[in-house]
Amino acid sequence: MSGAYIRLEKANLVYPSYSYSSKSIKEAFFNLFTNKGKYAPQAIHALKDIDLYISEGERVGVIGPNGAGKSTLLRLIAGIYPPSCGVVQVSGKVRSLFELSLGFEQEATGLENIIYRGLLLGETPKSIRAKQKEIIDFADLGEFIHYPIKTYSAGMLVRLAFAISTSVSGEILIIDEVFGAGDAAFQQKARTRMQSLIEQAKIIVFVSHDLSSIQNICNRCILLDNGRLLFDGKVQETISYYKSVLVGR
Amino acid sequence: MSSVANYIKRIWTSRYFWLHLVNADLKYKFRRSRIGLLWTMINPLSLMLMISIIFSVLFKTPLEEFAPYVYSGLVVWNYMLASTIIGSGALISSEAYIKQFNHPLMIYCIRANLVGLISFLIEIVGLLIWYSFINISNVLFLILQLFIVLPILFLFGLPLTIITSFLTLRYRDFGQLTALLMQMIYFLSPIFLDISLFEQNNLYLLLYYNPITHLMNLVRMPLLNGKFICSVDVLFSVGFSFVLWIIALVIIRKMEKQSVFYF
Repeated sequence: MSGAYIRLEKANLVYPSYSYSSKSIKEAFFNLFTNKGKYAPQAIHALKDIDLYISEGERVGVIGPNGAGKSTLLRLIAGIYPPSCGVVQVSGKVRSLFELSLGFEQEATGLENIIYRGLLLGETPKSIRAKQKEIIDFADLGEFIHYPIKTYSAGMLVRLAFAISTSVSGEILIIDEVFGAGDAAFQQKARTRMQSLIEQAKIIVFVSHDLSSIQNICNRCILLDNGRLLFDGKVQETISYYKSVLVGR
Repeated sequence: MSSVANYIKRIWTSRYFWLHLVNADLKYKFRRSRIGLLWTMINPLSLMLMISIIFSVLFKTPLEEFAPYVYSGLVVWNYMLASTIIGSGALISSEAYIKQFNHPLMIYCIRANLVGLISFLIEIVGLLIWYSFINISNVLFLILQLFIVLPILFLFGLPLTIITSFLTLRYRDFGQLTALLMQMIYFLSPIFLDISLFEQNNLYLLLYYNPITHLMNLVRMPLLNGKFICSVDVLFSVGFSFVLWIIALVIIRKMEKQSVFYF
């Protein structure tokens, strides 16, 4: 257990066909007798033989076209999806920033939701209470913090979500495009805060279509296409490879 | 073996999270109405009144004997419903969490079941308050024995929630099947029908091999008869839970990892 690392060896992920079809006993029963037409959904091979080793200090950007398997890769590393075959080993406390505003309690106030989300992110009641004031200050919602979440505008919700999610750090930080939160002033604040979060983390895996923020944050970059790892190298090399091979395709 | 220990450890480390979910569920349940907690008691109370009055007229049973019998049966039955029918949605309703965090899925079953168990406690308090006017010593007797009865109930209810919620996630119409099954069991259990009715009609087997009978006896023995809970009832309940746990653990072992694909 020395140091944080991520190790993938011949990792494959297949979305089984049952995740799209045959969700009831009735269907499963009738499928025994009928020929499934040729439009029956097939299993999707989302990640193919990925070999990847990320060691401490690396900040890895993940780029590639839509449907390349970027988000699937992040969820595989975060332990949400199991590998269909191959090895996935992760050492270190993983913190993932996916869809920020999922899992809010609409009926509860902003204040309650801070505690609530904090616990969800693995804080203890004590530690989250200690951070509560700082989160309130950062979200800067004024008296709305005492109102139920359902009264919030979309922008306010994002601000609160961002403030909470980024208050808890981890050794391995997994980020799936979270920038673009709130108005211009808040975006600037958000960027500074992300920067400090990034400095604290030992490993970062960052998915984005925004190549300039990849260049700002990362010191290594991998290119995925159609579930395969196409290129792995320095940020500039990968980006120019991406542009030359895939963008003009 | 170590994977089981690891699983339990992960449930323990995420305890703040799921305990908070339970807390939020209860708050939500009681926040929407002015009388909140009272609603939980009114439900079995009104059902009991209705059933008792009809039956005391039909079978000429004295109301004051029959009513607590019905209420204690309904309270246990409500927990069974919470464990199965309500509990069957435990995983589906937690989709947002399951897709974002790598917590063991059993915590969402524990969450749903604990809410049911706490509702059971609130309903029981209603029963105890009312029964203390009739027989205060039996009430105290039951309160003492609740420390044994509650864990037994939870040990029985939790695997039920695990089984139904995992299968409902896989087969979305399993919930309807559960509802149908529970409706059948409802009429085959001594909830409002007197035990003697089963005995007179040679329905012994139905009565004695039905775990619901034994679970209800755990509440009825101390409260209605002022006796210690019977070892047969305890053994039967625990034995049946044991079988349910084996099924539940097999299901978790086979389905837990793949479950994220079923949404």
